[in-house]
Amino acid sequence: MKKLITLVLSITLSLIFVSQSKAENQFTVSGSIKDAKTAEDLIGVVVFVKEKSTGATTDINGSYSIKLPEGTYTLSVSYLGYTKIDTVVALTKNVSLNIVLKEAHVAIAEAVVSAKKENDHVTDLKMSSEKLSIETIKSIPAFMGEVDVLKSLQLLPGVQSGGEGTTGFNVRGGSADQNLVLLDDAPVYNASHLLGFFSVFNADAIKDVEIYKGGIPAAYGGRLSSLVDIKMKEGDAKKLAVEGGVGTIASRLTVEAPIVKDKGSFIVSARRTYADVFLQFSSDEALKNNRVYFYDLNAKLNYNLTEKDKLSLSGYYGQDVFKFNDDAKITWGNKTASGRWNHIFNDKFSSNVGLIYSDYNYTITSLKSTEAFKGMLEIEDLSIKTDFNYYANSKNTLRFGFNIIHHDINPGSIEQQSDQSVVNDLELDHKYALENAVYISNDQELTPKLSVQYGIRYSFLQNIGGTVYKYDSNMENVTDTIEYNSTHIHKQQGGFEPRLSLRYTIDDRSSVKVSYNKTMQYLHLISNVAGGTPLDIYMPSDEYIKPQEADQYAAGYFRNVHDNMFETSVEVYYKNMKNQVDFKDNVDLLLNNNIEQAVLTGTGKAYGAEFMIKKQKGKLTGWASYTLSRSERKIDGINNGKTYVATQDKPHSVNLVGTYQLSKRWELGATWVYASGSAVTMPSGGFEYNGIVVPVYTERNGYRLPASHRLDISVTLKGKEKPNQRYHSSWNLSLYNAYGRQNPYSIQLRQNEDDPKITEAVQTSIIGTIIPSITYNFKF
Amino acid sequence: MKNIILIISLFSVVILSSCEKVVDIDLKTSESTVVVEGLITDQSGMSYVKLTMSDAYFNAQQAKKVTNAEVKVSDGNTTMNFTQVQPGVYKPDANFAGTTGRTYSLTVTVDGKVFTSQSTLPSVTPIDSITYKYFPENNADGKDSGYYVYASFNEPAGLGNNYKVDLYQNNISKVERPADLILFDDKYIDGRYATDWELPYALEAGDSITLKMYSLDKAGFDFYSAMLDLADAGGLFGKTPANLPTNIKGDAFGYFGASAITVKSVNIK
Repeated sequence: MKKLITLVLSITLSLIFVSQSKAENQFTVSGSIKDAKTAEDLIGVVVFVKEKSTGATTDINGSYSIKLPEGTYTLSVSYLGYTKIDTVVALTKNVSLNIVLKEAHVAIAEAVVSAKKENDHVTDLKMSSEKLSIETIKSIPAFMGEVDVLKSLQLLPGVQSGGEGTTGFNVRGGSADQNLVLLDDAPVYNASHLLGFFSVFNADAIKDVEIYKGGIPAAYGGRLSSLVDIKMKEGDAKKLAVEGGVGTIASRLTVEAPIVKDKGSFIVSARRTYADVFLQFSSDEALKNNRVYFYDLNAKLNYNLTEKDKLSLSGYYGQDVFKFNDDAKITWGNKTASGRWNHIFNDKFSSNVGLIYSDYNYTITSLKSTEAFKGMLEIEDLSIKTDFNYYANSKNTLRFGFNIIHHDINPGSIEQQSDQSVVNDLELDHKYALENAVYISNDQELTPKLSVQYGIRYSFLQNIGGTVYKYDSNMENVTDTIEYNSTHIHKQQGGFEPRLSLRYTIDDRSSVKVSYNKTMQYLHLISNVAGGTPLDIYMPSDEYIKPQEADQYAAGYFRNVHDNMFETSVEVYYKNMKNQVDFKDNVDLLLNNNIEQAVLTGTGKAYGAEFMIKKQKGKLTGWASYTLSRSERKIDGINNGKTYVATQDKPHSVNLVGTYQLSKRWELGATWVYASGSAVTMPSGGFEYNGIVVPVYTERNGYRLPASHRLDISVTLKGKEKPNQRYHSSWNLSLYNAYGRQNPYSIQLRQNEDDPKITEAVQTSIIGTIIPSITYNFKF
Repeated sequence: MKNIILIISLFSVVILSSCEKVVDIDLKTSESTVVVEGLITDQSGMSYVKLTMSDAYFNAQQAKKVTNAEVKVSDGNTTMNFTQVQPGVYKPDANFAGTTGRTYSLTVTVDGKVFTSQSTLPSVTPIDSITYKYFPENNADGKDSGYYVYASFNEPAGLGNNYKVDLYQNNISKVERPADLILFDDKYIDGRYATDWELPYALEAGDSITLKMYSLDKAGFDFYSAMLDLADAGGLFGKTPANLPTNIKGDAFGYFGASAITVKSVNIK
């Protein structure tokens, strides 16, 4: 492994050096590109040098940099949805050129995957990734009209829904805890409201979302399967703008305005459900005294301190509240905050320093006097992330940086709440750990046709302080308890994570890409409940639980046809996973101080092929995809140690997503999804004990639920537009599950509710009918 | 947790119109295995060992009884032969009663195969009082209307006590399905006095109610906890399906346990 790193580093350095030595009389044109109206940084804008047939795209700060020999050039700046600009620049010295782009008023909504060069799909180094703009996400019919960032990702090949009403999604055969969901760089530990019916992201506050199923840049790590990078919108830096919506289940309001015109802006966005308001009027006593609601708040502030320094602060606060009569109140939610400072040293070198906070907590309060208690669990992260970008020359872009995360995990505590209460105080041992990483990577153009991105990340986890238990050889009895002081590092483990992507352009319409990714994961979701619950807690690797590891190999063929109107791709992947975590039969993981006794580990394997065709232009836009996949696990102590298919193994899945622009005012949207049923465990026998029927299992996941499919449709009617009108509005009517399919969520075997002498198989569908919803959106 | 499940179910039913239907499912059938259901108690006449064979899941309640077994229980000093009193049910002498703290060892021989187990009889705390209270229709607590029974008892100090409570309504047990089991340990209530602890059944005027509180050893608590989990098995909040842990050695299912029982009755008037 050491050899590999030395090799990568020396290649990097020598190549940069080599290309640098040739670069005589070269100058740089660099700058930033912003939206003319909102002064928002535009990411991924293509700056094309016509004379040289070369170019660059803007990075996450909206900056670009191109190195060229002395001369006069025409720069063509284009961004989907914006008017293209051509500028002539004479390069006799380094030139700073900031550009503003005006939004194009195109009658046809360019709905599909976000702004980029028309054949970017073919020429970009990236593979196994997809970026969805919020406009695309908003054009997809939504459940109860609530535009959902994470649900839209589940329409992409290789990304599977965990099922209606469950938290999480699975990427390329990985488990739900292997996705790193970042909101402006802050990890979100539980991304769902109401146990998965809605995601925690208010679409009005989101700019775009990008998912990496593979080819994850070296700057990111900590999860095995995917990176979901969600960027919050920046406030309008020119004028006050208000946006909102009234929906079937929730309402939203967003306000954005400049702080100092063109220099700084803020955006605040809020959302709350109101189903609970109606429950009060219910005649059913059981319902009347219950409250179920969630709300979330997003805020972001941007300020350009100087030409070269930009500050941004983002925050999120969300909460689910369940109140059950006057007996119990349950709340859970995430809090995140991130502050980032972007500094440009010179036209080649820039840095981004971030201070990030993330918290997830769950609280249950029982108010019944005889058993009054407050239970809590929490995970709290504080981290620093620093990234440097170095445009070495027109052929090399170096990125390097580090990341330190401090985890403080409270796996559970109980506090007595009244004197009459019989409940004792109980507090599990907190877990503290530092998750560290350093990385370096280079994007390099080897030849005009061949580009490569190679990088390496070294990550390691340090367990600090706390209590460690020693066990006998069977892990059955505690033999010793060791208390470490709060600064003592008692365990350290880590590894190298090489990343490699390669693109060979066959012509400007087609390319072949391959990638290799090693990823490591130090936090493990402790859950043996099928659907996942808000009570699930993450635990760090330690003396007993090794870090999870994965090696992923992927290859793909990318081709655009019909003047870039259609993007097509085929990708195949193979993933090997080590130290996959599962749990012993029947263990209770809640408020368990000795989780390591319950943990089983083993290996996993996932492979598949993903086919996709996307239509980018015209009245009809959208995509169709098909995924063929398999995901297996082999864990000692499960299925007699034999290989079995993972629960999320769904061999076939099909997604159809379409938006049709009927006229300037009318837009139709539809999605159809099909997926094989998930693998489930069913008994192969049974017996009676004390009158109760008990199943006998002989294999894990030996059965499959019936396949599920669903059609969702939506119609959007925009208000009449007059010239110079400030107020824009639209109505959206959507039908979720339009043909009323009752998709099986589970099949449970049980004794009949009326006659316990009868056993039966009962299929449950979470959504049993068409769910219509209507939403009114406005903007001024 | 149960509250969340209830609310989510209400949400699902009312708003999403979630639905259930009985479906046909083709299950494989594994080999038939001996099932031991055994109880030694400190109450005379209540100890027994029941032997059946496991069967296909949907036949479990018509499973074959084991009528040719030899059943012996030893308390360390003497060995008792259990005799078959009805097909598959074996009992000791009518006056036998177990003793707290004593370890009972079971040996079952069926067709030359030997199955063994053992359990130490834990003590149980007495139920001091049992009362009841009426809740009318549409009560503010959201309960079904009816009479609810309350028990008061002292949880003795020292961790490791496990309890199972069966409620008999006119001599018929309310425990018919996994979800009906009432089970708790002293993890959260160690050494506390439980005043008017409510049993979750709506009962009727005129009912004769008997509470039987069993002490359980660790194996018994694990066995019944896993049985309680069966209520959600395969569902949204169900644990990964797994076989119930067994303390029977020799490739059999079931549980053999020694329990002390405290009994208290009340007539609802």
